[in-house]
Amino acid sequence: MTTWHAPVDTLVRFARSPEALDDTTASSVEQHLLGCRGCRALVADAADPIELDLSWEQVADAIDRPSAGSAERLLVRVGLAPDVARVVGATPGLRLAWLATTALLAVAAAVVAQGSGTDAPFLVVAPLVPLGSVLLTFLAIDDPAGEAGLAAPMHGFGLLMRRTLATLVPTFVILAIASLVQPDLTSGGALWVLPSLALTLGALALATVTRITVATGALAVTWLNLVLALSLLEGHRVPIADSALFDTVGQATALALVAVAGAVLLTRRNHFSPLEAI
Amino acid sequence: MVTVRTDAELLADIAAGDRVALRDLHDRHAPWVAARLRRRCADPDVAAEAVQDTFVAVWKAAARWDGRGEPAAWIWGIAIRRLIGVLRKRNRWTPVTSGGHAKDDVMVAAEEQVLIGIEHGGLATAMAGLSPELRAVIQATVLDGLTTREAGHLLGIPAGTVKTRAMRARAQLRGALT
Repeated sequence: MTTWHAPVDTLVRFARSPEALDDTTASSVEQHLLGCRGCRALVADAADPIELDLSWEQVADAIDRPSAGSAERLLVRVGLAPDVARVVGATPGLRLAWLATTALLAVAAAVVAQGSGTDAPFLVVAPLVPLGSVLLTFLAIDDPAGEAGLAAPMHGFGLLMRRTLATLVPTFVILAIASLVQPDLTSGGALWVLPSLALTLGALALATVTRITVATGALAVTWLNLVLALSLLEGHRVPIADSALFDTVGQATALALVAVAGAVLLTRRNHFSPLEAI
Repeated sequence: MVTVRTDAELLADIAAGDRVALRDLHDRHAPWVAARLRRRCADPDVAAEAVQDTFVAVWKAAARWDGRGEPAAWIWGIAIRRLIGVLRKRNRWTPVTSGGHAKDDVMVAAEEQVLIGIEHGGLATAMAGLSPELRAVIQATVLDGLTTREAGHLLGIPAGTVKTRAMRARAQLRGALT
């Protein structure tokens, strides 16, 4: 250990305008400072106290900020702005619970399907699942993060759509995976997609005129009644995948509904305030 | 009597969630870390952000300090990598243009030579004789302890260039010292 210490005026110059120091002197000072508490204290004394306070404020600010959850980090990774990701990803608990329920439902449908050799349960239930996602997203506005969302400097519609998508996309992925294990893949693979989209967009479109609970509830009841009516009409002999609900006519109707609901949603998006929606 | 906590004690307290300890550590170390970073990055905003990131990282990682060695060196190891992180995030390089004046206008103080390498009295002079590009590479790889890749990020040059420059610098230093 050396008993040499850097000259005080060199330390002061290092603290105040380090760029101005020549490389050799700077390297010497830098190596010395690593091991010398006294000289570090002299540098600290010579530094600008205002800058130091400012620096600390930023550090304190950063450690007080809650750290990003995994959902939020994922959203940032896929290209969402960090502040948007914070608001969108702010209800991980609820969302996780919902996705777990969805997965459970999908597994149950798969088990039933394997047992009974029919994809009817899945086809009936699948379109209702995204409806639940929409309802959940809107209801989540009651939570504190939702309140923050209301105050966020972002158009209510855009924010709501982003939050809805953040739940809908994984929901659809889970459903898609579940559809792969259904028997009768030849006819059934993607039959659920258009009706699901029609119900989801329909609910969102309806939410511009009424409350979301009413919108999703009404569509869920309508869907179940349709299924019931068709199975009564056509008799139980016809597999549901081949019924009017899922055949070409049904798919075309669903597609038309998607288009109509999408158009309504876009034109009426300004009537779409989260506050009115609940 | 007021007892002043050592850096090691501060780090232990920070690991236990003591904010005052972090503030003390910050006020003790931020000034020299900031000065040292500013010698490696021409943009003072980038350097300041790296300093802040460093102490946020210290707050999170204090428990991982193994208690051996000099806390200042540990902090510097974080700081230089945070600087690279900030530079990468901003996606632009403003590496400091190492002053080419050192060669002519500086009388190297004997004490300073001793600091750079007690065993190698001539190292400081030899260092001063290197071109700015070569000196920057030696500074990053030897004095700052960065890997070739990290040094490349810091200096804004490919890792391969760092390697060849380091080789040339070592050859020149060897020539100057023997």
